Amino acid sequence: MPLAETQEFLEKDPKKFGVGSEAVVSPDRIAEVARDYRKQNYFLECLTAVDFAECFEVVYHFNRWGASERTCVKILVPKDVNQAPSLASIYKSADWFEREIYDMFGIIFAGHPDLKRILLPESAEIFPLLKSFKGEPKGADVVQSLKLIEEDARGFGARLQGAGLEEAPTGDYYLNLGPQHPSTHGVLRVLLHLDGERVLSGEPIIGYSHRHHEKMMEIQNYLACWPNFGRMDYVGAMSYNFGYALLVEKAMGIRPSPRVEHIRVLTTELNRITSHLLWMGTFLLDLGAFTPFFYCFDDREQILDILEMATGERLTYDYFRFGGLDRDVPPELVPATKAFIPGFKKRLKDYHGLVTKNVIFEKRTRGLGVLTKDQALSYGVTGPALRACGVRADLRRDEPYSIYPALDFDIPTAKDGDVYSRYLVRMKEIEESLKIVSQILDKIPAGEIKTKTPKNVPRGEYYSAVEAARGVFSLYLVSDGSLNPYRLKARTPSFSNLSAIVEMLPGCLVSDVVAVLGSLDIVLPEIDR
Amino acid sequence: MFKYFKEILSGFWSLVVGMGITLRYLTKKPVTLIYPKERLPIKRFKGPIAFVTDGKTGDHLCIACNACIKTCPSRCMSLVAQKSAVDGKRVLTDFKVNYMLCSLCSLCIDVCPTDALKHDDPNYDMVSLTQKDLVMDLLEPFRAKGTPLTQIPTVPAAAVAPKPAPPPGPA
Amino acid sequence: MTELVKIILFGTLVALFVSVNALFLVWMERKVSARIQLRRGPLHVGWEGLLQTVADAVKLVSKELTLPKEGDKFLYLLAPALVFAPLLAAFLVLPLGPGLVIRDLNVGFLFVTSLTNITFIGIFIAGWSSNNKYALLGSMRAVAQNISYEIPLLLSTMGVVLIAGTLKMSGLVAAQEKLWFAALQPAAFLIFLCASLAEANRAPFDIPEAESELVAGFHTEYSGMRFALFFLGEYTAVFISSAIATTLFLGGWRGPLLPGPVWFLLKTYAVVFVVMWIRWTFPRLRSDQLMNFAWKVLIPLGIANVFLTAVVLVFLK
Repeated sequence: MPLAETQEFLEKDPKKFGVGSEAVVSPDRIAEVARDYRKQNYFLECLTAVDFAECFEVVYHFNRWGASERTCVKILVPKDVNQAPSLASIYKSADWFEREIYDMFGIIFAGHPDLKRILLPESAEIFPLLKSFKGEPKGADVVQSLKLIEEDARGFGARLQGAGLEEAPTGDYYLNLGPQHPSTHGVLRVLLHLDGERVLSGEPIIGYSHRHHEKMMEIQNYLACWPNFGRMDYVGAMSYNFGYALLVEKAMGIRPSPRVEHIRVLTTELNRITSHLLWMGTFLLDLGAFTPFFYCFDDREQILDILEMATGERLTYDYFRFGGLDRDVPPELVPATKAFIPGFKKRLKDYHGLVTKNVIFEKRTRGLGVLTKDQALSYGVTGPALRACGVRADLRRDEPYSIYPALDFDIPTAKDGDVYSRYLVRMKEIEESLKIVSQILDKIPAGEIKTKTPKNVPRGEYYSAVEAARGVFSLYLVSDGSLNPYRLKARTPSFSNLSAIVEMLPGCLVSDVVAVLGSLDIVLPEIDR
Repeated sequence: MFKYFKEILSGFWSLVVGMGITLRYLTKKPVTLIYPKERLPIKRFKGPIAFVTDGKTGDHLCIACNACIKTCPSRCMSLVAQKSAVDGKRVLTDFKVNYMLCSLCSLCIDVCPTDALKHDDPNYDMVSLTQKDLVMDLLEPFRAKGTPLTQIPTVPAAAVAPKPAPPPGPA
Repeated sequence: MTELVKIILFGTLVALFVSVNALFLVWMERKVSARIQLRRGPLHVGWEGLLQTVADAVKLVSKELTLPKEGDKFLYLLAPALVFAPLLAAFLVLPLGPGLVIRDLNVGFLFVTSLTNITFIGIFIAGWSSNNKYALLGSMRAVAQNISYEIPLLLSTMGVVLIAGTLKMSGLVAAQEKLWFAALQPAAFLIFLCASLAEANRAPFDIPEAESELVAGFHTEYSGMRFALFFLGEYTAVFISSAIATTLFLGGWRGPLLPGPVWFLLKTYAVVFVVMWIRWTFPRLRSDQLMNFAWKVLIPLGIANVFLTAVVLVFLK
């Protein structure tokens, strides 16, 4: 932590609260503190706000790559002031985080370059995460949709005017890639400013599949939150289950039995493989290669069959419970997994022959969409996209949870930070996950799969983070001791990863845009929440 | 010059390797099944929520405690219990699950004190042309069989106002 | 009078063959791709789904024909015909067997290549008149691609023409009596295959319609039968490219035992199979890489090939 701040910081037990130290600083000093952290190579992991009766609390979580050293800094924003300084000039990731806070709480960030709504439509008149907001569900609103259309046209027109296009027509133009486009993996809109096929700039516009999980979780009890985690990142839902289980177990102070821990890691790693396989298939589909998609899906379906044996579900898993699991795995699961592994290893060789060494693939991806370490730090990029920049950062090693410390696996990295490196890192991660799976298979101990849990989560603030398939998924919980979470913020990896695309797009061709988008492995429902 | 030709040749070779792989797959047997005719054995599958049938009495095990309804995140269940005309105990008279809303999270099964609920596993091919069919009356099969619990006479509904299902969790 | 009857007769036959052939090729493509991808492909309509494409065609015919509001209506309607008609005309000079050719022109080969080029004007018009950014991007790519790949295509055939000493299709077949040109000119054969893939907009050179980037490229705004014409055109173009490859490099209709037309079709479908096989194996190139490949690899190699052939021919004389 920055030395100048030492006296203000309160040591905390990271095992219990997820953060090593905490401080409350005055709003006008937060920029100084953040600059200090930035100099010491901390990245802004999570930025959110909590609506207390007296004031807003804006909560910054800083962390660094390598062994986790998470610190929490808070500023208090009185409700009548309703203004906080923006960190967007220090951390690029703060740009989107602050827009989200503005969107949800209405807090104004002074000095933000473009403070507008991010998840809700720009014409929305509500601030849904305020405690005073009790949502009344409304049907389709014609007036509202007309307003939306008009606003979109107006915003776009203003942009054109700003560029001075109306007076002197030039060769450049705007192209909306999405929200209905085959390669945006869900409903994402990328507003491209093009000169011929060359991209001058691109801006991702998100929020099309926003369902407001965070408010949903505030109005229901802890147990009823489970299905929400299966539906944020539906491709790698098991890691999200893991994150929530760890958070509440940390808060309640319970530990699941070794059998539960082993099964959790087994299913999570299998799920990570399916997630990477789905990514690989669709990414290659973006590049125009159809066939690997089907091979990936063949393998993925086989793993899903195995996971279905355990969970009864194939996609949106609700498998974990506090201190346990929904149900035990059947005895056939272990032999089925063992039978699957050799065939899959052979298939991996085919992938390398068909894709990795393919000259067209290499030419399409090498040196494209380069992300530097400094940009990754500024944008808070995590997961395979970060490891492709040559940073050895993986929470399974850096902030060990569950039985990961006892397992033998590597953290694959690549050095170029381009699309090809991201591909290589994910391919190697598949192999490492397979290594973990084969290690666990023989050693699942017998034991109970359910533990007795206390009824309530004790008062306090808790933070937990896991390495999901796409990067760091973390949860920040404020509990008031009641049956419902007071505030539960989900920091999803793709949200920050996607924001970094602004740096990668300029200079690309339209064909490269889909390749770069694909290489980030975004899952829109997770970004939009 | 040499590098130029080497690049062309190695590139060409990588393409040949790729084509070799696809040719090998061309001769393999397809992995897909023609679904309604052929199917995989289902090991475990979360079907729609249904009542467990007690082996001895052939009856359901529900005691109308409302635990499932309080937990359900999707608020897709509703039950009505009435006073028995015989001994004044609570008797389940209606239990409906709106399958359109159900998120198949198994939480109702988890919290049930008498383990009265289960996933209807073999119900794999359920399909419906109307929304009405997807609001399932869980008591229906028991009524059809005329099991003892469905035969208990109750105090008419007007006498005991049925409590509306409370929202999940304390507001 | 007999001439008129002949024209009508041949015209009908060609039109019939083209549509049946395209339907068959679509089915073949689906089956080949399915088997490569561990699937089964169409199964239910007809034997092994053979009639599936017929059913699809019926569906397409019954679909509504849409017109883009801001588009250029006349050009928009003209484009599908411009794409499809030249391909029909190319059948004029294809030698199916000994003497089985509608018009054995002296410049037969040149005739085909110049005709197939007209389709690109159709594609450009389609993209332009749709008044859609994606369609325009697609048609721009198509034009750039066509101009680049015309050169290696013709260069690769120059070696063959030098050896045969004629542009007549029947003469080219006759020159391969002893040895196929594919064996004499392997480099030219490969260059021709690459260039004709690009000319027919086939993967990995399908950038004008790259569906993951440009939605559907130049035919984004087309629906129903107009879309079907583009579709038919693509498969007919593949067939014609393969037929020319057969004639120029694989000995045309020559072969033991079986009659000429059967050999011709067999060889052509074999080349078509290779084209499909390539499509379902590789990712797509990027437009600038596509140009690089043409100008930096195919054209130098093509020139070298022509030069070498000419030198060897001079020495042999």
